[in-house]
Amino acid sequence: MQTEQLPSQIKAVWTYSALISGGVGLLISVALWLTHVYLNWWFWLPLAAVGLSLLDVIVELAVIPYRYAFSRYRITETAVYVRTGVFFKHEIAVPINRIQNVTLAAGPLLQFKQLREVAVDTAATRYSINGVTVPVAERLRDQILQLAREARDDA
Amino acid sequence: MTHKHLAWPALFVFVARAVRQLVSLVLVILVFFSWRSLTGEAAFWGFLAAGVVVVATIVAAVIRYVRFTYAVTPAGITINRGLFERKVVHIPYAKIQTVQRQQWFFLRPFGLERLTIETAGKTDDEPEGELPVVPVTVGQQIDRYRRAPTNPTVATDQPTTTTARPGERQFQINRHDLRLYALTSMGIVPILLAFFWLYDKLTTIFSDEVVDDALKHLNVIQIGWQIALMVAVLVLSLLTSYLTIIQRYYRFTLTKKRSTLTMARGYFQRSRVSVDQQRIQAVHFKQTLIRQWARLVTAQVLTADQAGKSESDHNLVLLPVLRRSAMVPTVSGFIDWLPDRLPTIKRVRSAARWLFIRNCVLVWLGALLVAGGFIWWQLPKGLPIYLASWLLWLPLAVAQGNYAARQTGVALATPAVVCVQHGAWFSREQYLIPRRCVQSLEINQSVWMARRDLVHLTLEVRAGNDNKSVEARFIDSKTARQIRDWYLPQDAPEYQTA
Repeated sequence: MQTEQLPSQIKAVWTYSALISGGVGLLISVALWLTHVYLNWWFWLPLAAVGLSLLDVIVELAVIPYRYAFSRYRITETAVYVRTGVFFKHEIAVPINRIQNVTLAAGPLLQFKQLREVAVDTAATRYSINGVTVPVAERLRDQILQLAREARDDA
Repeated sequence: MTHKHLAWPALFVFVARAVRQLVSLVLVILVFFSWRSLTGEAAFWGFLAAGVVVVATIVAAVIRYVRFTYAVTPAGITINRGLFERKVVHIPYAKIQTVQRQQWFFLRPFGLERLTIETAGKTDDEPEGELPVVPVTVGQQIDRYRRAPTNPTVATDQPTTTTARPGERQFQINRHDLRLYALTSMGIVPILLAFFWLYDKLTTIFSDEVVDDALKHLNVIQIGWQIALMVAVLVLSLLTSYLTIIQRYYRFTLTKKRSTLTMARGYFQRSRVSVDQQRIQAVHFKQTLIRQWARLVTAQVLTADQAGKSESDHNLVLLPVLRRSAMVPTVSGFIDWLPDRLPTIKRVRSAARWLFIRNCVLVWLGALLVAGGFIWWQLPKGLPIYLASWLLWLPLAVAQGNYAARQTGVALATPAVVCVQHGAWFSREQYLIPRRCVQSLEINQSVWMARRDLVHLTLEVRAGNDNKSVEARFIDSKTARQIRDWYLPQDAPEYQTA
């Protein structure tokens, strides 16, 4: 049986988020440049900041196709599976009867692309599926809650 | 139902807590006063204000006491409290994880004790229910209600297997083992650190001149006396650590009554914690290196509440000291789901052993380099000696990695219980986790590990208000997948690795 891939819009969300984090890095660099000009702080600080932010953006953008290819999820009658990671691969399995609650969330970027993040909580930890389309998210939530109701056991 | 007030000594508890909150404020005010020279008039108003605050605090504590009422009914425990914001807490018996009863020696003649009731709720750092000073009969009443077979919710929570072995079972640790345990404890380290901290504080509080003067005097004293002083400090720390542990675990008794386990311990403060064995999330056996030589083990239990917060690993102590050979038979007599003996655990492959050693050496090298940089900067003369000491540290790192590799493994103990073992800092840790308490399972693999077909297996378990990740690193992917197949619901279609 096949695992499901995230919707392709998620790549756009990751691109924007990489660009935004790069922008924040550049703003910090500008602030550091100003400290150099007015407060006589070290000259290499803003340069290092620019370098690091550019490197961050390049790596994040370069990794997107791989991240997209390796991020998978699947929900069966009894369990939720999440797979993530490019260099460090994580395979997570959560039986439905261990799930305590389900949260659908969307930040501005996800909302813009009509996507939702699905988070499931167990008594111990929280796992999330990065971004799925709204109908899929709601179907998943209903499915998990329905199954959790049926498979209820003591926590 | 009648709401009762706490026993009168609770008033002192409330006042003491309020005063403790005030201490920092008072210190700030004192520092402020000593910093600025004040006129007589300002000092008068300042002290008046401080007096008003103190009186207000005490009055508030009294009101808190008057407002605090509780009721123990067949339906549950109700606590009313709060000064401005009134709180009413209801705890049904079926949701109680642990009940702790702590009795200081000076309250024993009055038959009073402190009761704390913990549930699995995660919201607060405080216990869900706390009765600071109540008669012991309240705790006995709660115990009766918790065990009551007539309580329908309790009855459904307990599988029938627990009633198979009725009656009571008791285990008390013997004095000889407790002494050995206290001697092998690492408690001396924090006490020595406390001494150093004290020394550091003294040097910052007193001016340099005073310290220099004292040091001059010290120089005058013979070297022999200095050594004697150091030995005295060492002996004193050892003795303190030893007595603290003996006091803490004095007459440690584990009792099983039907399905409830009760751990009683302590000399000055007798503490009794009771937990239903079905609420135990995992059993944890731990042996430090010294205790491996002495063949002693500590058994702890992981629960979904904060009752073990003050313990060393934040876990409840089931039995502080046990002979290694008697470990599993003893504990399985108290916890029904525990197997009679541990499974044989297959050691990791030699490729994995190399990875353990490599990682350990890398971590040590990182720390050694940082320390080396610091020494180079501060004490360049000491650098050759420091570099020579690497001959000691690096073999230690290799030994540590090798030890971790030898201890790591995972195997099924029974069809319902998994055993995960690992070693860190030369201490051996074993976790026995029932399948129903494994909240989720992770298999992690870096691309470099894929070549060797090795993975990290992580089981997530609820412990305290948080999670405990129990990990077996660099194990065969086949073993990990077997554990996952065991863990996942039987009717689940096989999860394919695409």
